[in-house]
Amino acid sequence: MTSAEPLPLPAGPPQRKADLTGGSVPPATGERGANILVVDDLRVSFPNRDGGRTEAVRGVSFTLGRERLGIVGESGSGKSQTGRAILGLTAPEGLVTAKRLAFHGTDLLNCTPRQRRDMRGGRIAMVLQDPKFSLNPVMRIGAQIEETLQAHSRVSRRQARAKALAALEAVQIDQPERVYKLYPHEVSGGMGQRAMIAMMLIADPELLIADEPTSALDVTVQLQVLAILDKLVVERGMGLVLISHDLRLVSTFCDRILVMYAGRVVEEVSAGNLAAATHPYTRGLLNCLPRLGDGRHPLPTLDRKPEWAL
Amino acid sequence: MSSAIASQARIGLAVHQLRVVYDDFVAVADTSIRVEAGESFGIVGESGSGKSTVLRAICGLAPRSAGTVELLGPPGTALPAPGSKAFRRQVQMVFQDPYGSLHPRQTVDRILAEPLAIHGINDAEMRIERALDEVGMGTGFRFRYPHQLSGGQRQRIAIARALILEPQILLLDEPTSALDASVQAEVLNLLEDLRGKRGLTFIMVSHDLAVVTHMCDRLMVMQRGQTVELLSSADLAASRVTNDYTRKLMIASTGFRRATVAT
Repeated sequence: MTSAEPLPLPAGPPQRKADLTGGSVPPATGERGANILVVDDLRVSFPNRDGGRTEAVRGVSFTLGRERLGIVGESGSGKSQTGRAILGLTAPEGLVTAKRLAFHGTDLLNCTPRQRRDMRGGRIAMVLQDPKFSLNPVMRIGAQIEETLQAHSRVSRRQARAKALAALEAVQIDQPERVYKLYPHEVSGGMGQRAMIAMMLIADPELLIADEPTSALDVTVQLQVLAILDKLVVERGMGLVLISHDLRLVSTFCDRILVMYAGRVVEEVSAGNLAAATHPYTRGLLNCLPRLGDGRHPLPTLDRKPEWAL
Repeated sequence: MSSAIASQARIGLAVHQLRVVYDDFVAVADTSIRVEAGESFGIVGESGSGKSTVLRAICGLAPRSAGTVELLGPPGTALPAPGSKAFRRQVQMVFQDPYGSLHPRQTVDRILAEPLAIHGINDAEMRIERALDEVGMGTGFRFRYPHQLSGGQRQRIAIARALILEPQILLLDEPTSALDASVQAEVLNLLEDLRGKRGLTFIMVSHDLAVVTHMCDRLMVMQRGQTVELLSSADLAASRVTNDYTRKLMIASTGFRRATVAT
């Protein structure tokens, strides 16, 4: 973090520091540096009351290799809709368009529903925010994990069970046998979130989209869950998109951060260089957080400029 | 009513050996705190540590199994007993979730008028306008419903509802944890500003160490219903911490570090 004083910055149009490569990306070839996901000019719009359409995501472009990418923004910035659009989970009334939205060279927007289904949960998985609402309340945790597996591969019951137990162990649950038999309401938030991660990982996805995976958890549990995700990314070579509102947390976890505002990427920074962020919105967000041991009273607030949303 | 207390007199609050028990589960075990008039006191802990339960027991929303709660005022003033209407007028609470704590089918006007009606206060018109003004919302918001407001605006209404009775003590249960960072800064500034103007006493609960040290002079760390450590914000900021659990919370608040997280 930088000095306490908000620096006077020229307010300009959205700045993109890195070259966010577009449709001219060559198909994935090697292990390193290969793009798992290419997103170019993604737009998601929803009908509004006046009969027109409101764009929630307005031209987001990025590419993702085997790395941890953070997407940060406030509520309404379009960060979750970006994640959902990649997976094809946009609400039915929403319209998704893009110049290119490709996963390992497969066009996600023009593939058949069947192809899309095979990918979802199998090769691309998603971890949702709140385990209380995202797990099936009337199914045992073990059965929910096995369901993912059975949807994507032919396995015997015994194999499925062994794999589910192994997945629970992989997310550091102490007594997998016990948790396997529990219902979601019988486990704590942190445990539920780990079960959900286990569920996503069992099919060995290449890309994991985590939408606020730790927001419903305590700070200490938060770090454990992130450590598990971190380990899995490193060991299995997954690509990870971490969507969060918490700039500070993301900056300590991800390799690269996209900052979103009003449906656009206003800035891309590498996590280590967050202090060098130039967009006034990013700087404002960093500045308005209270910090241990500095007495800034009152806290600087964010002065939203209309031109940021242009 | 409650004219026994001059509304300007600053009052504090003392909790002595508070115990809250649900069936066999001890939510809060023998906790004592003393918050002087005009002071701002913080309670930090994880979920399930009993921090919110302390606040709820103070204002009567959780059953007190043992222990006492009393108001501290200048000598000679008669202070209301916990549970009485006069006590509730002095001690008001702001809840965590502004999406859940406002009645969805009542307008802002109705929400703010209700405490006034309960306490038999007449000049509702003027007070509602003043309360909205104080929390930085124009009178244009007066006849809106909660769903027409943003999270930050809702929390402002919740603060206005607590302040409309002119209490001396405000209990804040994670007032900003449901809000975006920039909105959090605005609401924290508003609370500080109001405290300065009115000489309020704050007891604030949060899981965010940075927020609590920003707002409070002293704080208490709780774990599983027990008091783990009592320390001043300055000590915490300077890492003069004696307890391991407090240290763990401090490390956690700085974000993710590959080396520090034991896996």
